Amino acid sequence: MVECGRHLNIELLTLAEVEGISGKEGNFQVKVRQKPRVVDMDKCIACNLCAEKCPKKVPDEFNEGLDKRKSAYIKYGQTVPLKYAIEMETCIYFVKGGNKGVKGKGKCRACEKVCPTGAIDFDQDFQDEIKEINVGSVILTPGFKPFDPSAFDVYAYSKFNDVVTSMEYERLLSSNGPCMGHLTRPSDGKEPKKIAWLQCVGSRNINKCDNGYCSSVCCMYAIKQALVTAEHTTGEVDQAVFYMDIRTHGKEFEKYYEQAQEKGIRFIPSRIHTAYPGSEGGVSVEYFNDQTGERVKEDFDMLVLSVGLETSKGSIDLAGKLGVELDKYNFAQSSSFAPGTTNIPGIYASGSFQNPMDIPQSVTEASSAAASASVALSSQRGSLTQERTFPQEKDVSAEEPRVGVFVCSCGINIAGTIDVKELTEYAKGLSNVVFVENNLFSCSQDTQVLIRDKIKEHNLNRVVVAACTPRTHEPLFRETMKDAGLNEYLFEMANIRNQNSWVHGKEPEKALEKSKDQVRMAVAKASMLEPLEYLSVNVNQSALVVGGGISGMVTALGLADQGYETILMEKAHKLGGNAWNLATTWRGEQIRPYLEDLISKVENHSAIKVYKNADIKANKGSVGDFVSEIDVAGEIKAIRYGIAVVCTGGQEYKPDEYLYGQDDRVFTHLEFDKEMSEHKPALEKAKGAVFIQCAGSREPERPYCSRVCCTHTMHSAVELKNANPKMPVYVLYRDIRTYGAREDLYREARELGVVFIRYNPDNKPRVSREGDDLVVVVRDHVLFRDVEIRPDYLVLASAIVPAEHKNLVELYKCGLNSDGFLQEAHAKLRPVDMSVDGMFLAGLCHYPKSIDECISQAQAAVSRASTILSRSVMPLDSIKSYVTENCDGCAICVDTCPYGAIALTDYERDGGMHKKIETNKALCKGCGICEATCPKQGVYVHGFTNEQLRAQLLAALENV
Amino acid sequence: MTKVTVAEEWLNACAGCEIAILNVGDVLVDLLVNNLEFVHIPVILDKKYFGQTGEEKELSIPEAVVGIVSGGVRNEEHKEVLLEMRKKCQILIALGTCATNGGIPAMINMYTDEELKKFYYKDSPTTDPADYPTEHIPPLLDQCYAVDQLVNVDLYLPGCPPHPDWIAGAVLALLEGKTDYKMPEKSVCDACPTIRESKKGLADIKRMLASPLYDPDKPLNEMRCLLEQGLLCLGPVTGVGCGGHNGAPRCISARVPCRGCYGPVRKGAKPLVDYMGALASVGFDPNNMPDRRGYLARFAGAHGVLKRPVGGRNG
Amino acid sequence: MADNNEPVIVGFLCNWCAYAGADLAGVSRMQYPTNMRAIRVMCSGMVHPNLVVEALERGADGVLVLG
Repeated sequence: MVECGRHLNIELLTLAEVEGISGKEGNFQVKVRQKPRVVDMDKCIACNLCAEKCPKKVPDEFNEGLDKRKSAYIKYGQTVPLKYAIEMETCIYFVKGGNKGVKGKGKCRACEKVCPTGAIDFDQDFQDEIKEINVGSVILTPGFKPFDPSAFDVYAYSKFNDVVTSMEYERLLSSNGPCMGHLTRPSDGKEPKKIAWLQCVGSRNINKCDNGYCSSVCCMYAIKQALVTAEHTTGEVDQAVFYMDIRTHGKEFEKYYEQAQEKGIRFIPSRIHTAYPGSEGGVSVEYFNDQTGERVKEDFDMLVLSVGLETSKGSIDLAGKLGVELDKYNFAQSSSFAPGTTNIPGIYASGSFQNPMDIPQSVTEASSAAASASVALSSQRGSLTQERTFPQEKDVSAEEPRVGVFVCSCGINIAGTIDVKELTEYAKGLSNVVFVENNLFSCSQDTQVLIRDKIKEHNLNRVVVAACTPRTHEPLFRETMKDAGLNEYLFEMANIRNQNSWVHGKEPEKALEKSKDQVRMAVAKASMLEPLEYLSVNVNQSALVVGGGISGMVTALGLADQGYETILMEKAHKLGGNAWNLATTWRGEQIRPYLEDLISKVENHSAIKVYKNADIKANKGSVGDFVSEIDVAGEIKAIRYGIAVVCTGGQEYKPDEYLYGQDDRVFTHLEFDKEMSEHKPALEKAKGAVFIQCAGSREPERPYCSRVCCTHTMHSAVELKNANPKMPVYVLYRDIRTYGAREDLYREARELGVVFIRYNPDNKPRVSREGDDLVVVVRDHVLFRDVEIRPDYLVLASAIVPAEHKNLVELYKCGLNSDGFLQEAHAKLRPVDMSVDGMFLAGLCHYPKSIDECISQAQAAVSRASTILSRSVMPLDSIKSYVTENCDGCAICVDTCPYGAIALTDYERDGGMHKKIETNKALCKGCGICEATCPKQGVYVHGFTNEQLRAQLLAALENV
Repeated sequence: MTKVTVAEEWLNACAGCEIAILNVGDVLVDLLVNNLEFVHIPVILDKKYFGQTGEEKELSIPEAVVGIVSGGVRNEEHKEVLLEMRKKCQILIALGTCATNGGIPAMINMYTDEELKKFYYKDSPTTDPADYPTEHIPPLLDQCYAVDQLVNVDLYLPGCPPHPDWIAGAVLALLEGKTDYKMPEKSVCDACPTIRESKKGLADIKRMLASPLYDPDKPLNEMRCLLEQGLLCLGPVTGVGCGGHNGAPRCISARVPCRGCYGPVRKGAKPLVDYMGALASVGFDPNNMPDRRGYLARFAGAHGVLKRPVGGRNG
Repeated sequence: MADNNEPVIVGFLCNWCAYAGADLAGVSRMQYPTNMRAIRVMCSGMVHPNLVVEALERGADGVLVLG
């Protein structure tokens, strides 16, 4: 969020609503209604005084109404932009006047009086502002609304205080929620010791106008909440999850589920029909024990309803205004082959407005939408972007340090606790300090001018600002440094607000002592700061895509459509990969025509070079300029490219159980698809089919869920039933994982009479042959006895296994997870980036997924890659490692660098050969593990050298 | 022309450093003709502290321009001699690792005097138990000191023994009037030509006496780094110089790991912390190393590096 | 630190997690004792063991490496 707020080319319009849209792709006119914030954004410094003084308390919607906030407020601590707002609907001044939306007539105006910067002025007219914006593309990300269970008496949500929704529970657990992180239950403030989660509240149910689809995320969040609960309560706590199917189909999710089971969280397969009052407060529920078949009544201190996700009324209205078509569940309608597009060219949808989805999927879809949105605009790229210019930088490297210290009062945020006058006087006595000044607000625009002038007037060459946190304000002051002609790295902050006055409000004297130490430490470090070089790498604006399946082709086409020369390599003799073996998507769209069209577009695109029978042999270089050797059908070629996208895919696992390979009536999914299309008449005469789920998945040697097999089985089962409604079809499963709208297929299969039998992994189905018959025996979970089935087809929903990545891992130093899938840089926040800069991934090499998800991820990779490829020069952060003269090549650090940025080289000195290391600035991320490893101070990180850290340390301990 | 006068003394030392002085060889012989004169060097030239017949009351060492001291300071006698040297010499050189860092004898800093005496006079398996002597033994100081802990030192020439190249270099520099002669502040690795590939997998450490893999017919630069072969070579945290100005490290040349005889890479460095930190970074568990204090500070136990353990923890 | 009863703690805080967490504690106005002096680092992995040892040698009562 902070990055978004700070980005020069992102304009934030808060409190705004789209009124209407006209024009077409490439040239939309959007009419936006922006409500008044009342607080002047340029003046507000988020000091919280207005909220402190505001007498009007209203329920805090961020904490789900569990506690109160004021009418003058920010929604939560990390709000971006960090500016307060006054809610006209509740503010006494406006409400008393009876005149919502315009000048109020109430008397209060307390916030106006107390605001130290004059950001609040009630003497003006406040009216909604209508803005017309001209844009080329529109992306809709209105998010979701949690399902409201209050109308459903079965959950007794409205009846009992101790029945809460999962969103409310999340706030109860949160350290900045109403309980400050120490869980208590709403009815009596007691710490709950027994908590139950009810899954699928408002999902997978069409009984009472709730939603037919699966909300996809609730199983994971319930498991998370159950696990986290233990950390927010004291002593033993009992957590039970009542579920229909546990759906942990995401990457690393199944492991998390197993971990929860190991930690003793109870998972009970039962849908609770009614909640009764408990014996001592709390709630009582009734269910059937699936092991014994007995009816059980159990008391819980709290009940958490795992509510589903749905589209809000506002989002539906928005879609209506824009003419965007929604599906029957009110999610944006799109095709599997063009995820994120809507019926209107140039308008895209992303996130939970498309489907209920989790964070990694949302981030992926968001990047994907950005890619789609920018293709049409690529010819105009860069035409409206802004950059700042600065005066020539002064060389101060030979000068003695002359430190200027600016002590911020931050209104009374700092000055209210810390005696800033004394701190200012104290700073004057520190060595190297030649100028000290106290500002009311060091971050204000006029103070920036003042700091710049003082730097010039006093010939300062190092600056310390004692104020808030460098994490939010360092960029601002660094700009001011550059404005004053100084290197921006000659700057240091002392965090006397977030890490002092705000957290030591009751101990002003000790806070003052601490602030002196903080300033002394900052000055000590500042005195040792050196100007740093501004680094950049030249970007070869072309790409390599490894793997020519659907993901690889979509990536290559996306990059080429953006105008980048792209090499697509495929190890087989033709493009297409697994898609050749798939008939339809889960939505029923035919894959073959799409595939053939895609291949022809790729092969005929002037910016794409396709190499078949190709394999990477060698690689060096790094982001911006990779240099590789590839073997193309026996011929070695050298290629150069700026980024690489890995789409090496995966394949179907060949099972080694259930008589697979020993009986030709036993198929895998892909084999059965082929059988169905080639021998259709046989289907009609067949006397039955059995599907066994999780063949090779969720097993000790392959502990992950293969995600797509349940949906595939539903699809095949429905097809069988449609071909021959009389044919008995059985699905032997552990949990059915038809997430999202795929749930419809599951429901359809049940309606068509497919029989579902849940088996236990400790007692798997047994397959044998008796005479000519194939015999499947399974223990039925309802009848509690073995059932024998003699089918003509036995279909194994076999796992998806990743491609072999050993070579790739060695050449690019990228990572694999324990299941052999390629590792993304961050599971949630950077799902298509790899930890190696300039490398991205998409498709099955990352994790099993459906075609639409592969295409989204491929488009996301295009978007992420464009952030590098769009510029011929990529600026790098200057905080990088560098080799000092002490290095003598012992090479211990080489292996410790997580980014492979260190290499050993030979050089000549005084007539002898010696060794030392070299660091690659493009690969280095400045983590400094090398610095901590080196036993002789041979490698440092700029701005964080041992001497600089030591200077801070010694300053901290000066008075001890 | 007047010769530059030199006084040499040995304290808690073995005379190896003095042999190193003699090993300077031809250069020294030439200098002795016109430029240098040893006015005091009791290891080589007989000299009694209180007059040749013990007639004097005060310890006497003649004045000299250059003073060279080998050995650390362990008892009152060493201290008295050292203070006298400092008084009589304009420039004082600490020669050898005992003088610069305490050397091997400073390992005693891990033990109490009582433990020392008990082992030396009673428990040592090669000694017939005897009573503690009470006379003719100078009183011990509380620990073994490096020379610069008691007096100001102008020039450091570590090594056990120091390579003659550095002794000659220092003397020649002084004769040219340069008093800022300094050993290079690099580690043994700087002079070591062995092949370095990867230090991963250091979890398995071999015994020091185990033989590394190498082909005796091939030069040193075709042998894999001994640390990478699982031998706990102290090269990365030991000052360079044992091979002289341009030679390969001596122990490595003999295909055995560096023991650390040149002491830390620079003054104030903490090889103990430095090395354990570095090795832990590549996956080595410091707990796998018995007596790591004694091992890593074998030559550098002065300056408070080695202390008697407080409590029961094995160092 | 005139009062001898106050322990002195040096903290090395990773910019991306612990330091950000300390900032958020501030935004949330959580109150905690004043004894820690924070040194911001780009990764807790950059803290050389020598710095920890030196902090203790120079009189720190505790060292926190948070990351």
